[in-house]
Amino acid sequence: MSTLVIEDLHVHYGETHAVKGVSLRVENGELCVFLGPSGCGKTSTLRTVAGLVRPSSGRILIDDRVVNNLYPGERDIAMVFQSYALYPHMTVREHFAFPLRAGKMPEPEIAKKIESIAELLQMHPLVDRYPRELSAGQAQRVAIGRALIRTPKLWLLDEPLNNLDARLQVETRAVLKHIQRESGITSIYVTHNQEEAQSLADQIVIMDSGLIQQIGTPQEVYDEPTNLFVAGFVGTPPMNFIPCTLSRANGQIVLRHETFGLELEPELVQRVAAADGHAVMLGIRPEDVDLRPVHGGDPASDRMHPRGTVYVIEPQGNEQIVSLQVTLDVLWKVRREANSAAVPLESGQPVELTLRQHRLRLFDANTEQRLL
Amino acid sequence: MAQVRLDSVQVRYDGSDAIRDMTFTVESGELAVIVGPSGSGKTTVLRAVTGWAPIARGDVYLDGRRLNDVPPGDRDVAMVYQTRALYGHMTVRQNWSFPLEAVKRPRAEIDQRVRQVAEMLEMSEFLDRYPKQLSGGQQQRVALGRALIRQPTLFLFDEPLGGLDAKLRIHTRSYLKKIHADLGVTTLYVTHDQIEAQNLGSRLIVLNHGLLQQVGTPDGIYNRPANRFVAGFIGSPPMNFIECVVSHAGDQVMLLHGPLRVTLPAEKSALLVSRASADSVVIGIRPEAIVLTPGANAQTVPVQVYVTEPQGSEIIVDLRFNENILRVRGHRETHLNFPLRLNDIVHLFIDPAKTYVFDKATGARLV
Repeated sequence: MSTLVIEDLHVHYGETHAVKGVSLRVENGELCVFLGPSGCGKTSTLRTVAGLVRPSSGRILIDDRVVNNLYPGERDIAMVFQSYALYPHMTVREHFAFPLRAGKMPEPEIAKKIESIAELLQMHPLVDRYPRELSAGQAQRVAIGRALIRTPKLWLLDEPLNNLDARLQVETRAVLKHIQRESGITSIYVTHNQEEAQSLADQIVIMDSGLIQQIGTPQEVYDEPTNLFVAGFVGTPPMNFIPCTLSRANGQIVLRHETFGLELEPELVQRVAAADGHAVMLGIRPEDVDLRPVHGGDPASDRMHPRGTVYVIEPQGNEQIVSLQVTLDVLWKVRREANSAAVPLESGQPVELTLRQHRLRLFDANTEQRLL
Repeated sequence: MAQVRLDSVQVRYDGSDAIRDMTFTVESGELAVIVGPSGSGKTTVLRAVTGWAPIARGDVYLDGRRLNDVPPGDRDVAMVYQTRALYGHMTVRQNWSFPLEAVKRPRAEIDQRVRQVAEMLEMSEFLDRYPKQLSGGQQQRVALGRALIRQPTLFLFDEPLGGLDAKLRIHTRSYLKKIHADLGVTTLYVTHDQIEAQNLGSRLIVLNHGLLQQVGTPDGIYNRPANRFVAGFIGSPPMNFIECVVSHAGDQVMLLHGPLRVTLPAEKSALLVSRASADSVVIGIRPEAIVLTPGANAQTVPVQVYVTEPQGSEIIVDLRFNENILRVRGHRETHLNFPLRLNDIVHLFIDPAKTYVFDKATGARLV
């Protein structure tokens, strides 16, 4: 039962300023995911919590106690890394037992714990094998089990699923999330994979260039991204964008592009503070666009809705992803159900794109902050 | 234009079959994707076509011409690998000219081909750059261009997007699909990624353990899988499987597992009875076909929430049902818009109309 607080953390590696003032709070029992591209500072932040990297400045508090000067071994944390360092001379069972014996747990209780972690990780038939007799995926699960079998103050996981194949990743992350929820141990999980982050997290901390871009639940970062970076980073296929100019007249707002002029619905108008002539980036998720085939027609200047030409259609289970050439250098992706009710489309066909306006997002073209 | 045909092809490595009984036809102009888990024999099939795998039995034909005894260099096929196979010390132009220089084409023709390919791949302004000065996506285009420049009759791709990050993969595969549609060159594409396979292929060739499992369109494979392997391999999250006991009530068949009772409609019942007499089968249901409700009724069974995983506008819910974990996928505002907390009991309905039935022993689809 622990809380973690990071206060104005800075990390330098020589000339490189890797973490530039990170502050956050992870509540007791929460699973907090640090998400960002490589080099964003997520792993450096995690490593300061672990005590493996010394901060240049800032404080780390576990349960309101500053731990900056504690050695890793004194912090009562368990870690899983991407590279699983297993002992070649120890079986799976011995790996699981090791941290428990070190904590002087009675043997019958150790046996019970091993039983349950082996079952959770579906490693029952493998407990008497040595690392050399395991696949990479199985070895990774041993490393995970070895950390999760303890009940420390914090679990720290650094891309622990990277070595697993796609299917096993999906299965193992569900197991991991279940174990974390059941145990209620406060956890930090580092990943560059936004899908994994959404699946696992109570809170996602999105980082870029050493700075926190947003902290929020998976739904918040998906629905209400604070800036263009977050909007483009979370979600697959990614959010669609097109640059527009905002034009304001007679209490109305029109998003002007050379190929369309989209009038905002009245209830959205009052929520946009930007001035006439403001350069904005319009963003819309692939599932929030409706497609309607059109046949030639009216001049571009009169169009309210964007148009596009079907570039390719990519089936995906009960859905399909339609790629659309909207302008020469803007390609959008639209997700729709692939059932018989859907209007059939073919490559090269012109279509009109209706955007679900309550799902439409606007970003300042210069600051990249969200306006709507 | 080229049609590729494999007839009962067997390739053996170290005394065991890498592939066997491999029979399929890829029609001229198609983009066929060979998909399967690692070790399923996908790459071996490509190598049988290029001539780099020893064919123990069977025949490979390109446009009706038997290739078995044609040396690899004379087969008129071009292979595209991951980007790392580019020559780092050569510019884009040199990377592309090289295959034509190697076969001593005249300079003027080489220059003209390079120009055409650069235009097609929108790389004209990058011709004098080195690979390391290009983005991952551009490097991929260079790799593609090197195959295109030879104007082969057949393209072979072996996991060409393997080295790219997720966003770039999505972008590049749309691009590849478009290029293929424009050029119409017959293409065989190998991947282990079933989503990529569905996205790209006009037809999928699904392999497992060196054996052909099914050939079909993405829609046909997803909606009418030939067997349990294909049903479980294509689709994410995968299809759910539950072992059931078969029980008869008049003309109708009921499939039972604990409190779960799936009553097959008359037509499907008749089909099942005609195809199998086993007293137990495996049913399959897609994650998006399961209905989940907060309350119970006569048609539902109680299940326990194991985890919930938000995924954009959707949620994936893992549920514990007896010894099974079942996955349900739905929209968070319309389908799964009620609280789903750890260990909550919720209620699940399996629509018999959307249920597949597989033979427990062979895995073949019965219904």
